[in-house]
Amino acid sequence: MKPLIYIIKKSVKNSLLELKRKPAKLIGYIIVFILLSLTLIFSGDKSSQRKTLDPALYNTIVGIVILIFTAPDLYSSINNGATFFRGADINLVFISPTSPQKILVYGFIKQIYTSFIAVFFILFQAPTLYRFNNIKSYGVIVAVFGLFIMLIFNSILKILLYSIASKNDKNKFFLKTTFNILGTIIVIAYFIELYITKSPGTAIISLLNSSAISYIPVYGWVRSIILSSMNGIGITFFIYITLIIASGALCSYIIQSFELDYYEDVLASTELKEKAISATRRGEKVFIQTGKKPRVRKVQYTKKGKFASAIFWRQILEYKKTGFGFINIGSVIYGVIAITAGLYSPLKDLRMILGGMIYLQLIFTFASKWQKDLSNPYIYMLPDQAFKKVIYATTVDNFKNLIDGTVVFVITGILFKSSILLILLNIIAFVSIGSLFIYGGILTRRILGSGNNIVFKSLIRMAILVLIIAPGIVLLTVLYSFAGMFIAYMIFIAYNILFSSLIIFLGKGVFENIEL
Amino acid sequence: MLIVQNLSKKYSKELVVNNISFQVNEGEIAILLGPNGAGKSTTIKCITGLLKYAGYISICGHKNKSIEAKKLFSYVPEVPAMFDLLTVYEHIEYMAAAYGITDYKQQAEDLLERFDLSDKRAKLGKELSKGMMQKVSICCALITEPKVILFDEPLMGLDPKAIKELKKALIELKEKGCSILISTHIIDSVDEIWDKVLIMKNGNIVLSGTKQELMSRNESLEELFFEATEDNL
Repeated sequence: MKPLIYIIKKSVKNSLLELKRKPAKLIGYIIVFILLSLTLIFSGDKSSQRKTLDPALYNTIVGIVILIFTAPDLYSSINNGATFFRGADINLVFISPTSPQKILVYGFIKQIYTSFIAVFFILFQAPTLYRFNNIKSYGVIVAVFGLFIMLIFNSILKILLYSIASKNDKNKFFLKTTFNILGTIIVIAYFIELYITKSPGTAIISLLNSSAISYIPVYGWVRSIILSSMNGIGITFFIYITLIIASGALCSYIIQSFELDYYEDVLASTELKEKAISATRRGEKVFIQTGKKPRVRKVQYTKKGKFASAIFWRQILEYKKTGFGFINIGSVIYGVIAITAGLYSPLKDLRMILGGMIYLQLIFTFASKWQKDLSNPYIYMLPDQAFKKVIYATTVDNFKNLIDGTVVFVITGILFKSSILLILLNIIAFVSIGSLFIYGGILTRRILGSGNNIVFKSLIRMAILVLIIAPGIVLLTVLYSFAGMFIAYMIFIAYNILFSSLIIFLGKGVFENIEL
Repeated sequence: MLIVQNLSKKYSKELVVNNISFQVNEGEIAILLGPNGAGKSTTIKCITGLLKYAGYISICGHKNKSIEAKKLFSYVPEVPAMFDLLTVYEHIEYMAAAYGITDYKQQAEDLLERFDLSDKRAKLGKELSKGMMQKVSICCALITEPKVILFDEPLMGLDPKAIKELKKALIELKEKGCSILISTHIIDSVDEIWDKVLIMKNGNIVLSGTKQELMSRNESLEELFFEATEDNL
């Protein structure tokens, strides 16, 4: 165990020393720490105007969070496996004369850190939670702790599931069928509740408040632990923690005693993880490949363009392969979101939808086609003017925004019974702010370059983008009340177009002065 | 012809390439040798315009970052990068379009045949192994019929047949008057084909010369390399 502890000890020490060598990273951590401290300090404000959080609603939210963190992850682990390890562990630790048990413990220790990082950002939700007077003062800590131990347990269970599934096809089929049956039971239960309550929202609340959930091993217990943030810590809190730890230990024991060769099982998933990490470091969209043959449509590469326009036609070809023109899975997801929002949103206001779409743009801003192109050397060496390259590399993303905007605003507009003019204005507004995101992204790339410190740079990029788009949003909000809808939208659109154009000129050198 | 004058490159405060100058003439194969971390890849990336640098670089009389220069040179990177959703053949078609080449089909077929990719032409970029990616990367560079070509560790991951074919292709390019710069640390792989050697260490060129110039020393490329790079000699 000593050499393994040595790796962990040295890794921690070197990452601290790195902060000394690269103070920019340290500044990032300090900013996060200050923001978190401020969040926690101000959320502690005991104002008399605080509301009461409905326990049934809190129960539901916790249930949904657990489901989101767990169900897709466990299901995919049957095919993809799971891993605590990195490539270096496979190459240097697995082959060393150390027992698999010790290596598994080493993996768990590493996983504790990863799980902590995953739930750390939930601490920022403290103000939301402390707005309610029935949340205990230690509420956020309890919620984070509950999710934290759940994630560690998930990692162990994922290895166990994959180990069992990879033994033979029968096992895999059995596990998949079990998952599907469980999923079907939940869907049927939901429809029964829907039939009884006649309300989609109430049906979900009723379903996730079932008393039986508390008895579901681990996940029901985790829910009870998190709910201690409202109900207070009692004896059951400690019983559930003990039970979860015991369950984790039992799963680890099974992994060992069944002689499930977890080395082989984690090998493929570690390779996937390494690919994902290096893609993230390059600032690319992460495609987790499962080893299955990728499904793409067969299309003819007829129109190819010339010089810079070749970039545009290549991107069109890529879209054709993954969908029907610009309509791909992303557009379908937007469509589903639009229908759901259109039917169940309490506020029938397209501005709210526009706000949501802008938020999604901000989150997915680094997953666009032009980003992917920038990580490939070909675009820099392509013999054409930098300005043309910027335009052709981004046209497809602008088109995609037009399509997605049309899908969302036409659907929600019809369901909200909005005027055609308002629908049109929202589509144009969305496309215009989309272009501001695209060209703002190019500008930040020009300023910051690419590189390894992707997390810190992404935060800075995000901050710059927010600064660029914020004035337009403020203008829209303020002018909407004073000058009317039409003028507010027109000025918002004009701001976006004006700044996009300005930024194109500032950012066009991205292909000439880049550090790839 | 490739001319590099007073090229320097710094990463933060670290000087990785220190004021180096050299030139690769038409029909010449220059080998950039050096131990790991000598600055070979950085030099190549500066020439391709992928890194900022201090100094002057020209390709056939044009500044390396100009459109005219870009039309004339090709680059095979150390780590091949493919478009996930493009097939092998579509990569070649895309390169032809991006460089404004219309009459490329026969040459594309020849390249696919030469590098054993004919039966893999419909495979997607994300389905390729590292070696196959390297072959596609070489085809993409050769389809533009460059006047200057830069290779960064081109033989990594290639099978013996592909290595043989690449060497043949290099000789053919040389005969057509192409200036070729190959960065490598596998000396054996280039022993038979080099015309000029540039040995780098710690960002400096510590030895350079043509085959004729160095012939009088009666030493193999490997001996020259160790003589130039080992501290105790």
